[in-house]
Amino acid sequence: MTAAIEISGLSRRYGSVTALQPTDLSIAPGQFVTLLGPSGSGKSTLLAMLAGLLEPSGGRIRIAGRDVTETPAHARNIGMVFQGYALFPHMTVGENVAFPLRMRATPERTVAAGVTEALEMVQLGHLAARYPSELSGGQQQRVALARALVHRPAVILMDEPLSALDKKLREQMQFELRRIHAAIGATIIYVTHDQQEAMTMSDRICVLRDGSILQDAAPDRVYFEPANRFVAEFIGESNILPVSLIERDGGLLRLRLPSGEEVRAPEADAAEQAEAEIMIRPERVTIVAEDASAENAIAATISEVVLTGGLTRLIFRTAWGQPLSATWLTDRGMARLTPGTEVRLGWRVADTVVLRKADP
Amino acid sequence: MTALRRLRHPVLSLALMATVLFLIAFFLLPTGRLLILSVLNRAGEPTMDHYARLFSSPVYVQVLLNTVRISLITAALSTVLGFPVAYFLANARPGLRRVALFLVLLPFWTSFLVRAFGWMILLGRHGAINSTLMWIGFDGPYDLMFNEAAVLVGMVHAMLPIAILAIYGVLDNIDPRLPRVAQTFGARPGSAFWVVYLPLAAPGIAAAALLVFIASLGFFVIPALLGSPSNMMISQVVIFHADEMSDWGFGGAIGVMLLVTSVLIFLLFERLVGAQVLFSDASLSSGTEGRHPPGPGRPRRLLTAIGRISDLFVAALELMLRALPSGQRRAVRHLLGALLPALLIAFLILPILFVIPIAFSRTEFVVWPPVGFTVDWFGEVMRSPIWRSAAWRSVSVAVATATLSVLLALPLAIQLTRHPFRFRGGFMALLMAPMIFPHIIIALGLYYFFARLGIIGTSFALVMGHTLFALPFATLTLLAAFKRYDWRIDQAASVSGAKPLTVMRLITLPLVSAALGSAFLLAFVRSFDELTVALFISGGLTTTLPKQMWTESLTQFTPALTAVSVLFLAFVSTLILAGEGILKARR
Repeated sequence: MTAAIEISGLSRRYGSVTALQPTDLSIAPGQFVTLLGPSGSGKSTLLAMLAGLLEPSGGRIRIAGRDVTETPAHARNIGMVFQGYALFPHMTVGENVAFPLRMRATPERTVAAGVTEALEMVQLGHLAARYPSELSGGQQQRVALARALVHRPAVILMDEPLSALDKKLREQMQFELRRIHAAIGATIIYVTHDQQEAMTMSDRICVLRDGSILQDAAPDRVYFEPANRFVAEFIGESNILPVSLIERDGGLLRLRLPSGEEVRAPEADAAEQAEAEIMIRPERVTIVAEDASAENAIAATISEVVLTGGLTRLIFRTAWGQPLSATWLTDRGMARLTPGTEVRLGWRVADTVVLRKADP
Repeated sequence: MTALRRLRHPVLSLALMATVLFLIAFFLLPTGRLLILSVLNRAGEPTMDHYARLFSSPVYVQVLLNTVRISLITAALSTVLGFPVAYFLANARPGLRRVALFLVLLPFWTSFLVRAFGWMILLGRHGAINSTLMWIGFDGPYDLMFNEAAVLVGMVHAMLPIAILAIYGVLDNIDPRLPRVAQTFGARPGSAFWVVYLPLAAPGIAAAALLVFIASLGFFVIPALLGSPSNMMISQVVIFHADEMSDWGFGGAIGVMLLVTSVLIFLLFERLVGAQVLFSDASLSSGTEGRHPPGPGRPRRLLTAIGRISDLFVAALELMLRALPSGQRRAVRHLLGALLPALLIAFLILPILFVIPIAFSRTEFVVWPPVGFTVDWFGEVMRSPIWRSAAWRSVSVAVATATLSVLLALPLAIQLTRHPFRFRGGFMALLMAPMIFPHIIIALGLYYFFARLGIIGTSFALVMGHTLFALPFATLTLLAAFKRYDWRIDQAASVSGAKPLTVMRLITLPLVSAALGSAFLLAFVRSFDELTVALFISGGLTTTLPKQMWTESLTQFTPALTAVSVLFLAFVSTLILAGEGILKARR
C-alpha cells in the first residue's frame, strides 16, 4: 500500500537556525497523526512544508506516491485548517466552504450539494448565508473544518485548530474531530502543543523537540514507554528519580535510590549506564500499609493534599528530600491524610520506566 | 524549491527594481547633479565661486538666517499648538474624533495657496479684520499684512496640520490606560501626564518639529504672499534665479545650504529618536527595536517637577469646581478639555472659509464685507480656456500620478511586508527621502534634468515629478494595511487550490480595497495640490491649477481667484469625504 505521506530527509533552516533537522516520516492512509511539541520544536514548520507554504531546505515530500516537493500549494490537493481559522472575511460561510470546489472548476450544482454536505457534517447547515464575523469562535472553527474537507482531499492538515477555543468547547471538538475523521477516512496531520489533545485523538503521536522527532509511536506507548525524559515530562505528569544500577537479575534490574532504598524495574536498554533515572506516573503511586508487601516501596512524608475535583493530588517528600506526587481519584477518606505524616509509598515493577540519564 | 520561489517573486521584484530605477533617475541623479553643479563653473571646472557669491552678499546671508529663524519659530509654535489637538484626537469619542479629524485633514489637503488667500482676505488693508476694527470705531486701516508676524501666522497655519498628524500618529498608539495606571500607583493626574504620557509622546513631538522645520525651510508661498521683501525666504531666491536659466550653480549652492541644514537636523533627530517614527511603520523598526523612546532618564527630574506644579493647578481647578453640582462639574471639565483644541481647529478652518463669501461678491476687487451676490465669477472661471485647460491638466496628471503610485506601491508594500530583503532599510530611506527633502531642491534638480532632456512642460515630466512625492504616501498607506493583513487567509486560499493570481484577485485585493482607495486618493490629492515642481516644469499652455493660481495671485488677487479656490475646496473635500465613505463602507 502506498503511504499517504512519505517524507525523506526533509529539513528547514532559517539562516544559521535549524527549524527542522533532516526528518523521515511515513504515514499510512487514514491515519490520524499528531505532531506534538512545544513552540519552536519544528512541528509547524513541518506542516507548512507539507502544505507547500514553506520551501524545504532539503529533502523530498511525496503525497500518495507523487513527489510534490516542487509543487505549489494550490496544486497539492490537500485540505488545511489554519490556526485562527483564516476564513475569508468578505465571503459568506457558504462561499468560504464552496471556495475549494470552485477553484477546481466544479459544476455549480455539485458545488451546492458539496457545500450542504460539508456544512451538515459540521452541523452548520443553517448558517450558510452568514459572514464569518457574525459567528462565534466555535462556529468559525467548524466552518474552517468544512472548508478543509469539502473537496474530499486525501490529506487534511490541521495547525493548532482548537487553540483559540475555551477548554470545554475544545474537549467537545476533540470528539467531533474523531467522529469526522472516522466518517471521511482522510489522513489527518494534526499539530498541537497540547499533549492531552494529542492523546485523545491520535492514532499516532510524533513528539518533536528542537527540530527533531524524539519519539514516534501510538499514544499508549508514548505514555507508558516514553523514549526519554523530555517525552516523559511533556506527556502527562511524571515523577523522575535518580538511581544507580546494582545488578541485573534475570529480566529485572535492581536499582538503588539516593536514600539507599532498593527498587526493581523491568530490563531496559537505558540501563547500560551505571547512573540512570526512573519515571513513575503519579496515578500509579499508592500508599501501602507498614506490614503489607509491595513490589517497590519507599518511605516518604506527606507534604500537601490538594483536592482538584474528581482527582486529588498529593505531594510527598522522599527520604532524600525530593518531592514526589501522586494523583488519586478523590475519596472522602483522604481528609485524614495530614501533612507531616510518615507513610510508605509503593508502585509496581511494571510501572517503573528506566530513562537514560544523559538526556537533559 | 527554486521553482516555488520563482513563482512567487517576479512581479514583486520587478516593481522593486522599477522603483529603485525610478528614484535613481528622477531623484538621486537630478538632485545630485544639481548639488555637483554648485561647485562647478560654466566651463565645468571646480570652483567655489557660487558659495563665495552666496556668502559675500549680506542680502543672501540675511535671507538664509531669516529662513532658518522663521522655520525654527514655525516648528516650535506648530508643535506646541499641535499637541493639544493631537491629544484631543487621540482621546476623543470615535464620533467626535471622526469630525475633528476631518477638520484637520481638510486644511492638510487644501492647497497652501487657498489657505494663504484666506489670510489675505483677513489681513488685507480692506480685509475682514481691518473693516471690523474700523466698524467698531478704531482708526484703521492697519498694516496687518507684509510683515513677519503675518508670515509667521500664515506659516503656522500652513504647517499645523502636519504637526498635528505627526503627533497624533504616535499618541494614537499609546495605551490610553497608562496614565490611569500611573494614578492607581499614586501619581496625581498632572504628574501622570508629565511623567508617564509625555515621554511616550516624545517621538511624535520630535517628529512633528522635524517635519515642520524641514518643510518650512523650502517654503515660499506664505512669505511671498503675506510677507514683504525683508521677510524673504531662501526658496524665493531660488525661484527668482531659476528664471534666469543660466545660474544653475548658484541655485545648486543654495540647494546645498538647504540640504546641509536639513540633514544636520535630521541626523540630530535620528540620534535622539530614530527615524522610523517618521514613517509610522513599526514593521521597519523590527531590526532596531532596541531603541526605546527617550524614557524617564535625564529629563525625569524636570518632568517630575513640572508634573508637581501641574498637580497644583489641577488641584486648584478642582477646588474651584467643587462649588458646582457634580453633573455640571463634569460638563465644565469636558468643556475645558475641549476648549483649546476647539479654538485651534477653528484657527485652522475659519480663515479658509473666508474665501467663500468673496467668491460671490459683486466687486472687482477683494474687499470685506462682500457686496451683493453673484455667481458671475464662477461662470467666468469655468468659461476661461486657461482655467479649463489648467484644471484638465491637473486632473489628468493627478489621475496618472495616482495610478502609477498605486501600481508601484501595491507590489512594494507586499514585498516589504512579506519578503523582507537585505537592503530594506536603505530602500525605505530612499523611498521616503523625497517626502523629507525640501521640495524646492528636488524641483530645481528636475528642472535642470528635464530641461536637458527637452521635456519641460510635458505631462510625462509632471507625472514623474509628482510621483516622487505621491509614492511614499501611497506606499505607507498600503504598508499599514498589509501590516495588519493576515497572510494565512491567502495561504488558506492557495491550499484550497487557488493559483497565485487568483488569490490576488479573489482574496487579497478585495480585502485591501479600502487601503487601495485611500492610497489612490492620497496620491491624487498630493499631485493635484502640488505647486513646487509644477512651478518649475510646467508653464504656458501646460500649466496646472495650482501653478495658474500662483501666477494670478502674484499679479492680482481677484474674486475670480477666490471662485477657483472655492471650486478647489469643494473638490478636495468631496474627495476626502468620498475616501472616508469608502473606509466606512468597508468596515
